[in-house]
Parts: sequence; C-alpha cells; structure tokens
Amino acid sequence: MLHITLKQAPVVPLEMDGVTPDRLCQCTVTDVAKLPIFYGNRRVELGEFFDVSGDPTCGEVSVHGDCSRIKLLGAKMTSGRLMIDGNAGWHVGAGMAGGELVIRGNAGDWIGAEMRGGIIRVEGNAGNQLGAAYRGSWHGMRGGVIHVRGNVGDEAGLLMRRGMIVVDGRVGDFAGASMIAGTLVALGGAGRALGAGMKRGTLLVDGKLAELSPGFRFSCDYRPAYLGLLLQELRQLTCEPAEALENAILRCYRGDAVHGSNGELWVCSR
Amino acid sequence: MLTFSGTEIEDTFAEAFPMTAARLIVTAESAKWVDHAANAVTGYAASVIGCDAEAGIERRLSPSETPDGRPGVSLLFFAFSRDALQKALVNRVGQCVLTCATSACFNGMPVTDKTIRIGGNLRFFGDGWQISKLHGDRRYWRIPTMDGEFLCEDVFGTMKGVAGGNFLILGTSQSVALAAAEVAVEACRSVPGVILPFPGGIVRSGSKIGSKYKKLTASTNEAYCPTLRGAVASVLPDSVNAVYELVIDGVDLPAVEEAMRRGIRAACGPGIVQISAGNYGGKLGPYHLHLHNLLSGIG
Repeated sequence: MLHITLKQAPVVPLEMDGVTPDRLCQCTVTDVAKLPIFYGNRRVELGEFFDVSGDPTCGEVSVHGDCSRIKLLGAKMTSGRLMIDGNAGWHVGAGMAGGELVIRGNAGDWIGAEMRGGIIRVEGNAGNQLGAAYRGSWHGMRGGVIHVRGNVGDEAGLLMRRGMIVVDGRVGDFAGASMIAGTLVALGGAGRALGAGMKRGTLLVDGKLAELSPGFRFSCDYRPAYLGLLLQELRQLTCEPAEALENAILRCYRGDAVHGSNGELWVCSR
Repeated sequence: MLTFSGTEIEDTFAEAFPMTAARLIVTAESAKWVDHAANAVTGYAASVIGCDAEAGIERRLSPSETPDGRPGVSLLFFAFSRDALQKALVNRVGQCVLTCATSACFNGMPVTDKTIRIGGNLRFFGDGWQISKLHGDRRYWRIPTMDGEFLCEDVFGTMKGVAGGNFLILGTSQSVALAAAEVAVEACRSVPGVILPFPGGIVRSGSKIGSKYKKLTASTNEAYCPTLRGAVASVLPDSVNAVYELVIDGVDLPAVEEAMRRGIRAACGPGIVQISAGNYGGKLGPYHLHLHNLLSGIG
C-alpha cells in the first residue's frame, strides 16, 4: 500500500485531481512525490505537502491527515482502493468510474458528483450535493454506490440518473430533486422538497419526513418485492439501520406529478 | 455378470445428448406460494418430444439462499436451443410466475455471452409503468401488478447441459418396481444440478423412435411392456412384471453420471431383477453412459 501523509495543513485548498490508485500504480515513490498539484492557483509538487512511502504498484493508496482542505482526491478514479484516513474536502470521488474510496471522517460538498461506477464509503457526515450534477449538467450520478454512515447536506442525488445513494442518517433539503432514475435511501429522515421535480427513480425514507412535496400523491401501503433485493444489497454495505425495514410496510407515494408521476417515494410507516 | 444387492446390472448404456439449460430462482412470500409457482411453471415439461422444454425442481431454497431473502426454489429448464428456451421461458414465466401471487423470478446461472432475455421481454406487460433497477451489472424489472409488483431479472444465463440420462428398473411386480423407483428418485435428487422431469421423477411409458403410424415420432417401447410378452420380441426376463424408467437431465455430464450412480444403487435390492438403460444404438447422442463403468467398484 502507498502511504501519503499530509505534512502540514494548507492555508488555501489543495487540488489533487489525478491522484488516484489506478494512475499511481504506474509510478515509483519518487514519481508520486513529483506529481503536480495545485496550491491555490500555484502549481507545486505533491512532495511539498506530503510524505510519500510504501508501494504504489499494488493499487491501494492511503492518505493520512486532515484532508478537509484538499479537493478532488480520487476524482475520476477507475480502479483500486483509496482510503482517506480522516476528513476529506470537496469533490472527492467526483466522476469516479470504478474502485473503492473510503473516507474515515467527514466529507465536504460534491462527494461522488457525477460518478459513474465504483463505491464510496463515508464513515462520518457528508456535505451538500452528494452524487449530484454540476451546475449546468444534465445528469448527476450515473452509476455506482455511495454509502454515508452519518448525515448529508442538501441536494443529495440532484439529477441522479442511475446508481444508489444510501444515507444511514438524515438527508437535507431537495434530496433527489429532479431525479431521473436510481435509488436514494435515507434512513434517518429527510428535509424539505424531497424528490421535487423527479421523473423516475426510487426514494426510500425511514424516520421523519419534513414535508411531502406538493407533486406527490399517496398510492398504497405495501411491501415491494424489490425491497428484499434492496435490503440484501444494504446488508452487503453493512448498513445496520436498514435492518429495521426487514418486515416493514411502506407507504408509497407517486410523483412528481409535473413529470408524469413515474417516480416513487417510499416512507416507512412502522 | 455385474450384480449389486442381488440385482443384475445389464451391460448396456444410456444415451444422452446436449441441451441448453437455464436455472430460475423463484421466490414468494411463503413456501406455499413458491410451490404454486414452481409447480405451474414446470408443468407440462416432461419431454421435448411433446413439450417446449423439459423442466423440474432442482431443490428448495431457504430465505438465506435467495436474492430477496424470501423462501424460494431452484428450477432447471432444458431445450434444444437458446431461442427455443427463451421462447418457452418467456411464455412459462409470463403465464405461471408473473400471475402467481407475491412471486419474483431471478437468474440462477452465471451470465456469459450466451443469455436469454426473460424479464426484458415480460416488462412490456407493465405498459410503460415498469421500472428498471440496476444492481451491479444485473438489471431487474419491476412490473406493477394488482397485489404490488412482479420482480424479474432482465437476462438469464444459459449453459450446455446434458439431457436423456436414464436407467430402467425391472421388477417382479408393479408395487416392488414402483417402490424401488421412488427410492431411486430421492437418491438422484440428492445430486445438485439435476432434475427428473417426469411426474414424480418416474416414467412408465418408455418410448422408441417412430411408430407404425407415420405422424408419430415416438411410440411405446413394446419390447419392455410386460403385457406384450408373447406377442412381441420382448427383452424382459421371465420374472419381470413391471418396468419403470428414470430420466435425468443435468447441468453437466458428471452431475448426470452421479445421479444415475446413486439412483441405480438405491434401486437395487430384493424384487428388482435387473437394471437396464435406454439407448438408440449410439446414433442419437454423443454421451454414452455405460452402466458397468458407472458402477465399477461397487459390484
């Protein structure tokens, strides 16, 4: 495993796009230390801010230290395993296409934005726009899985097209807004405007729902056959709060009416 | 002469042939509804002589073994080609599983480049309200129904299986032969990856190719009918008054061989005069399962 250890916290954010296990596995330790990164608007070598040691060829990278001011770690990674042993900054795993990214602490905004594949695990909380589309983009997350053990901010899954977001805690306002397809699970409640403007896709909420978006209508109380399959996947993610849904009956709403009511909102009605 | 538990094992072979196989995992809210779906979807599937597929229950599955954590059953289906298998399964799943209360249907085989599309065809029943869900690289279709939804996997893997493994149990009476056949069926079914597609796993109407009637492709095998002894060239020993056949289809040749081996061993005993096998002179199938070779070391 390659170890990258932060020597000193940067005053302005560092941008580390391109520092991914799949790219580093072709480098030597010296090469990694010489990789260009941006410190604000200044181009610097990675070794200026980090100590680098270990074996880069195995496809596993561990980043140590408080990375809350480091952006774009693991962005566009395609394979391998990247572990951030602390907090992470913005855009971590954005555009990711494969591999596994683990954040041991809290994460900033735009985690997994427009990702296409792979899995992101956040042990703490995550910020706004989790798995969302960038402003002006047509599609958010297009594949893969994001699992957050804590709470997340607003606009999670904005314009989500495919894949799955699982939040053990609460999601903020406008989660799943303009969702096109995919699955978003919030096991600790949700804020306002959940699924506003969604076309298709599935939103599953356990816990308190701040309000029901006006474009949603009640359809029925039932236990979807798909829930069993979903719970099996949540078990594989070791998502413990999902066990409460084992025998749950779900209250199903269809929406958003402005887009044909092809989306579904399941609220656990235990 | 090879004997086992006092029963003669005839020096002959069973003739088996390749067929395309698929495995379906059917689940439902309770074992009762699993059985309803399984019995319906594997019905009228004894032989491709007259059915669109050969099918049977491979084994029951506990909730921990199924994709959705409900009680289930593993079913095997065999047909002469992938096209034929897809056609048969789209019809069968559409009429017998989709319609069955609380059911769901999943692929039970590895997905390679040789697949058949079942859920992907049945989804049109949803009339635009069907929902696709992608888990990893596997797609599932959720089709709205009056009790909720029918969940079906998009594509199912297929493989080249082996069909037509068989052996004949020649007994001194119908009751003795049937009892031995029932025990043999249970022994065969203990082997993973095989089914016995006939009712109760047993065939009483062994057939030969052709008939005096030109339209028939198969007809009764009079040489094994005790009631015709004296009228035709019977192959039955004098003391034999009933014959039952077990037909075995499997996902591969070793599975069929092992099922035949266990079945024959279980069938042998008092009142069972001989164990034989059906073949067509080696002209039908490439797999020749010689009884003596199968049982070598146990005689």
